[in-house]
Amino acid sequence: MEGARHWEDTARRTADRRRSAGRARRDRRSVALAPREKRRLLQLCVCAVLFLAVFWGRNAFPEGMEEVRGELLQVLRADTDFKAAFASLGRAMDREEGREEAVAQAWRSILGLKEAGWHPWVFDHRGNALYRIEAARLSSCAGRLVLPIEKTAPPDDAAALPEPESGEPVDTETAEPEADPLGVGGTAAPVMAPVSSGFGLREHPIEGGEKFHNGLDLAANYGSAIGAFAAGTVDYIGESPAYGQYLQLAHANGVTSFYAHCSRLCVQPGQKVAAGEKVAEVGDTGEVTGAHLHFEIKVNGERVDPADYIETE
Amino acid sequence: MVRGVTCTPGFLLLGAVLALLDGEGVLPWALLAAAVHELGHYVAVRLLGGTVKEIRLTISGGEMVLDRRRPLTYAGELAAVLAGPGASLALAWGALRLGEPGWLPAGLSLCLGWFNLLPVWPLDGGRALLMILSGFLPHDRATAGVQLCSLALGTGLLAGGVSILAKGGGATLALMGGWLLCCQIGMGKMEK
Repeated sequence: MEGARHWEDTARRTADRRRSAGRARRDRRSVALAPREKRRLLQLCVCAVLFLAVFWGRNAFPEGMEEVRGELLQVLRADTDFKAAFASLGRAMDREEGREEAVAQAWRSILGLKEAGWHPWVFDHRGNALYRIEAARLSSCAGRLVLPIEKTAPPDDAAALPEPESGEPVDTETAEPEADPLGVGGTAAPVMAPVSSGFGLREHPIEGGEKFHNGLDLAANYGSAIGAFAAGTVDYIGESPAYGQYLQLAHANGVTSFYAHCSRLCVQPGQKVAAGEKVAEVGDTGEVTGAHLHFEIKVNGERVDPADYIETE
Repeated sequence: MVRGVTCTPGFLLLGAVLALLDGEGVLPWALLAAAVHELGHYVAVRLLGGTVKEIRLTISGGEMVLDRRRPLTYAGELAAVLAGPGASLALAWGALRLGEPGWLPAGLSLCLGWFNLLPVWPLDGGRALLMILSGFLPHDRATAGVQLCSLALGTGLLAGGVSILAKGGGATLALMGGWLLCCQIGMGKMEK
């Protein structure tokens, strides 16, 4: 009996101690978790969940996450390829000549600063109605190219403008461009980049003086993939002091496309390529002030303005 | 030795966003560049006789809290601050020796080093400016000078970024300017 009472006392004291310890623990917790701490803990939990959700989501829902990522990137960086842009900066620092211009171009890429697209020596013809009518007419006869220079109306002779059959004025804004004006099948822009120098007369950036520019300079980052303009066969590849590493593709209907200043050529002569297939990488070989693609299109040996046939930024 | 590493919610948020947006495998190289940058600070502090009490990983990046029982001089702390960008430049120089494989880490490291040299608090440039001004002016006036410079530069970057956005460019500069301005909100406590 005495033993049992002693055991009951001991058990009560133990229970009291446990209750007291529990209260103390609860008290300590309530002291530790002040409102500010609670807020911080909540922030930490939310951020940790987001952090884990991203890693888990990329494995569990790769397509959904890729879609979200694509939309975010479209808003945030306007198609800037940061990997290529940072590599361009490293490449620019590695250069012996033209380093300042190359570094400036790399910074423009990193900051998503697009080229102004306006050059004092290049006639900005796209907004000109007469030009658009003439370009549409020339495009329609490309492939069986006959350039009736003597029959072309002088630009200032408004009466000679081709009138539509209905007599209505040509709506140059809504006129649909012809799907395949060159007759080469599907076409693709070799790189999606701003035009740094257009087709036509310009002040030569290295030699100075006004010279005719035979192609289009596209200011893409060093190492960017160059896709074939259209399906065809590799005509030739080569290297020269002026053009650096270059290649030419032969397409249907006597159309050829030429790609110069490449850092790497990925095809061999005679190889067949599909439209958009990678044929080379953008570089700064040859006479250049920075990495870009010099792109030319010829129709039966006559150079045409590539800007009429590809999309640019 | 470092007594602790604190990871703030902002750092986790930044990590989540960067992990989501990084599709080209740039993030591991960026982490390497950041680690070398911070290592530069740490080695300089140790060589100058200081002790790093804590490393805080925040939305602004890594921050080192020095043990004030073993303080550095203004000149010493200036050297420790500039050691980070110095380490970044050294990494870039080393990476460029590797040729083409080193261009990406070199470019990233150079960007990190140059960006950190902007005279904006809490970047290294802002801290360096505070150290230099503190050598000539009372601490309050030096702090006010850095605050003014930070606000002016942050606003300028934001304005430039908005201008680029309006022309259809990327949001990088606008985000950078906005982020630097946000950093000014909690800059009341500037310490040597």
